[in-house]
Amino acid sequence: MKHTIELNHRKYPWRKGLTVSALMAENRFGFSFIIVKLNGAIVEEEAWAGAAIAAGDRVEMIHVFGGG
Amino acid sequence: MEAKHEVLATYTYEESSIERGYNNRSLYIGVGGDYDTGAQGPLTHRLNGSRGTVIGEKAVTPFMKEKFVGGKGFDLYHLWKAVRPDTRWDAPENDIVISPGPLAGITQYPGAGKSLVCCVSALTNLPIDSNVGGHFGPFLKFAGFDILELQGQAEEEIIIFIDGNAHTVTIETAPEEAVDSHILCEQLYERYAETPEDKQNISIVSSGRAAEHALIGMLNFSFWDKRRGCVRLKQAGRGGVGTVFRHKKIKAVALRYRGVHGDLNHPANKSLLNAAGVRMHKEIAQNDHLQNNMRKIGTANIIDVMDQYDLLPVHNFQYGSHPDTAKISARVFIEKYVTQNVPDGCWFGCSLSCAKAVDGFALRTGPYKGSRVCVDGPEYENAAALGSNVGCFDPHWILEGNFYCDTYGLDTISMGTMTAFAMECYERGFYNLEDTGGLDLRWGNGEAVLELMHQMAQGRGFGMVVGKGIRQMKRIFAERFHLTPQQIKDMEDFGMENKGLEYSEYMMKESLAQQAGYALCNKGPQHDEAWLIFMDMVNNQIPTMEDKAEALHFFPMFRTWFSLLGLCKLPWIDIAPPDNRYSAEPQKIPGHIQNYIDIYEGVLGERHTEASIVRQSERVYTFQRVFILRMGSGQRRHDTPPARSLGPITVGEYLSREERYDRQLREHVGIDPAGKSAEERIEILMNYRWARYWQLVDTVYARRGWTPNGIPKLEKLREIGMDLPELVEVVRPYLEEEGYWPDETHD
Repeated sequence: MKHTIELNHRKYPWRKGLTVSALMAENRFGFSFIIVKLNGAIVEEEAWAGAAIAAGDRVEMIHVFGGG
Repeated sequence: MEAKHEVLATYTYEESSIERGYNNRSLYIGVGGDYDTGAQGPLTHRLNGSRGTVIGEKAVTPFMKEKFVGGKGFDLYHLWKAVRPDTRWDAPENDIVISPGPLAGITQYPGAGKSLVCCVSALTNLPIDSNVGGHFGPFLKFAGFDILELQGQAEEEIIIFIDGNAHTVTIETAPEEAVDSHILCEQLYERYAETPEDKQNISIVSSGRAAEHALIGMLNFSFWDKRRGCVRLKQAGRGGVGTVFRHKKIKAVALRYRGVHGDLNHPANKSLLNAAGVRMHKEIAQNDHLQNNMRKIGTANIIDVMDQYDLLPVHNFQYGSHPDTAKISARVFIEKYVTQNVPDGCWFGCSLSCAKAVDGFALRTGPYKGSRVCVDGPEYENAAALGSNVGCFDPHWILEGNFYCDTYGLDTISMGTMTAFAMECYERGFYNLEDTGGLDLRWGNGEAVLELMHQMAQGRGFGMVVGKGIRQMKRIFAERFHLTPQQIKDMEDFGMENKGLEYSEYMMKESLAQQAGYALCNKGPQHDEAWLIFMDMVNNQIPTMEDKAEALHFFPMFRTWFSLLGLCKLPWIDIAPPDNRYSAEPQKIPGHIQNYIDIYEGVLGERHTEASIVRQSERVYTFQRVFILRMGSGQRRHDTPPARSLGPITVGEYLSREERYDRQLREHVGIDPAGKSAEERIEILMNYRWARYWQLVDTVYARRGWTPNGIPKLEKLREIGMDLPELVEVVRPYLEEEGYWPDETHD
C-alpha cells in the first residue's frame, strides 16, 4: 500500500487516521473559503472533521481568493 | 478666503441626457501654461478664460466606445493624444484624465462607483492608471460628462468648481485655502453646500502638501458620510497622480450634483439590472460573514491570512510572516479601533461596504497633533505597507500613518515599500544617523516613518530623498554615500521596484505566476492586474508554463474590464455564491461573471460573453503596452524584476525557510544541498528561478501575441482590431529589428 496521498497535485505523506480537518490543520490552511474535494467529490464543510483520507487518495483544497 | 478669489473662467454648458451609460461628451479644462491645446483634437465648444485657461468639450465618438469602452480606456486614449514620446510628468501637456465608465453610477449592483485616473506618472514617466471610489466619478457623469481632462500649468493656485445642476464650470484662484485634504475638504463642503443636507451632493478631488515635494502624491476622491457627519476620502493612489495635480497648482476640483437616483444611466433593460442586483445583495447578506467579513473589517480581513500563508511582506519583503502579526490582526482593529455598525459603502448601493473608518482617532505627531480625526482605514495594503513591511506592529502608527498619507496626499503603498527599502539600507550600514539628519530608520520605528511623511509635507530633510522613490534613491545613495559596487548591486536586488514603481504588498517569492504578474504590469508592479498566488502556490492549479501563461492572459484582461466600466473588483472576487464550489473554474466565480454580463446588457443593451469581455479588455491592455513602448519602456528588459521578488537573496532569508528551499533544490533542481554553504545554495536556487522566470515570460508573450522582446505583433493588433496607424507606427521599427515585420507589408 502507498503511504502517500496527493494534496493539490503534490505528493504528501499519509498516516493512519488522517482526516480532512487534520490535513488542513497540518498545512495551516486557515482561510475562510476553501473548497475541498476528495477523489474529485466535494466534501461539505460540516463533514471535514469526520472525512477520513485513505492512502493514495487525491485531495484538493482550493482556496478561492483573488486579491484586491 | 473667498474674497481673495479671482474668477478666471466661467463656462456654461448644455444639459445632457445619459443614454445607456454614456453622455457622449467629455469636459476639457486647460489651467494655463505653454503647450499646444490643438494637439488634443478639436473642442466642440470652447471658452478662453484669463491667464491662458480654457474650458471646452469634446465628443465621445462611436470609435472611442468601440475600441476603448470607457474609464481607463478613454483616459489612455486622451492621454495618448495629449502627450509626446518625450513628455515627462512635469510638462504642461501632461494630462490628468478622469473617467468613471459606462456602468459607473448605477445603484442596483454593488461596487459601481469607481473612477479611473490616468496621467504620465511622476515616478515612472509612463502612463499610470489608478482606480478610486468616492462620489466624484458618478457625479461627473450625472453632471453631463463621461471624461474630465485637466491639462496645462496654472500660474497661481486654483480651484475648479463644476455645478452639475446649474451646468456651469468655474476656474478661480484660491490662494488661502488649505492644501491638506481633510482641512481643504471641510472648507469646500462648507462653501459649496447650500444646506447641511446638501453636503451629500458634493464631492472633491484633492491631494495634499506632501504631493508638492514627493513623487508619490495621490488624489483623494471624497464623499460625505452623513451618518458620521464627516468627509470621507478614497484614494487614487499609485504612480504620483497627486504630484502631477499639485504641480499644475490645482488645489481641488469640486463638483455638486443634486438628484442621484438609480436610473440616471437610462439603462436599456432595468429588470435585468435589478435582478442581478437582488441576487448579489442577497448573496452578500447571506455569505459575507462566513467568508471574508468585508462588511465588518473590509480588506484588512486578510492581514492574518497573509501572515498564515507566508505572504505578508516583512522587513522589505525578506519574509512572509512575523510572530508579532497578531498585534495588528483584523481582530485588533475590529475590537479597538474600527467604528462598527455603520454602513460603509463608498458609493450608493454597495452592500459589500468595505470602506471602514476609525472615528475620533487621536494623533500623536505632526501639525495636527492632539486632534481627533476620522481615519479612512485600515486597508490591508496600509497595514502591510506601513506596518509589517517596515517592521512596525503597532496599530496606532499604522492608523496615524494612514491618516497622514491621506491628508498629505501620499500613496501608502509606495510610502511603505520605499521606506522599507530605506530602512534596509540603513540597517545594512549604507548610511547612518548623521546622514539621515537624526532619523533612526531601524526596523519597526513607526514614529520615524511618520517623521518621514512630515518632512515630505514640509519639503525638507531625508524625507525629500525617500520621497523620490526607490529608483532614484538607488542612484542618490550610491553617489552620496560612496557605496561599493557590491552594495550598488545589492540595492538593485532588494530595491522592490519595477519600471520605477514600488511593489504592492504581497509576498510573491513562492509564486512564479505572481512574479510575472507583477513585473509584466504595464504600469509597474500593482496587484490589480493579477493576483495568482493562491492558484499557483497553494492550490497548484496552474502547474505548467502554459497554465500560468493562460492565467496571466485571462486575469489581467478580465481585471482590466472593471477599469473600463467603472466597477470595483471586490464584489467579483471577495465573495462567492455557495454553489461556486461546484464550478469547473471556481477562481473565476462564474456566477458573478454572469452577473456582469447581465448588468452590462442591462445598461448598454448589448449581450456579451466571457470571451468578448476579454476581447474588449485586450484592446485597451495592448494599447497600453504600445503606449509604454512609445514612452520608452515596454520591452523585455523592462519586465525584469528585482532578484528578491524571485526568491531568497541573503543568507538570513534562505536559512529562515531552509527546509523549504533545500527541498526545492532536491526535488526541483536535482541538487543535493548537503555540504553546500548557504551562499552556494542561494546561487543555485536563484539561477534556477531566473531561468524559469524568463521561460514563463516567453510563454506569456507568446500567449498575448507579443514577440520575444515583448512587442505586440502586427497580426495581433489586426486580430483585436487595434491596427490603428499610430500604434503600427510605434511597433513597426521594433518588429522590423526583431524580424517580425511581415513581408507582405514591406514598402
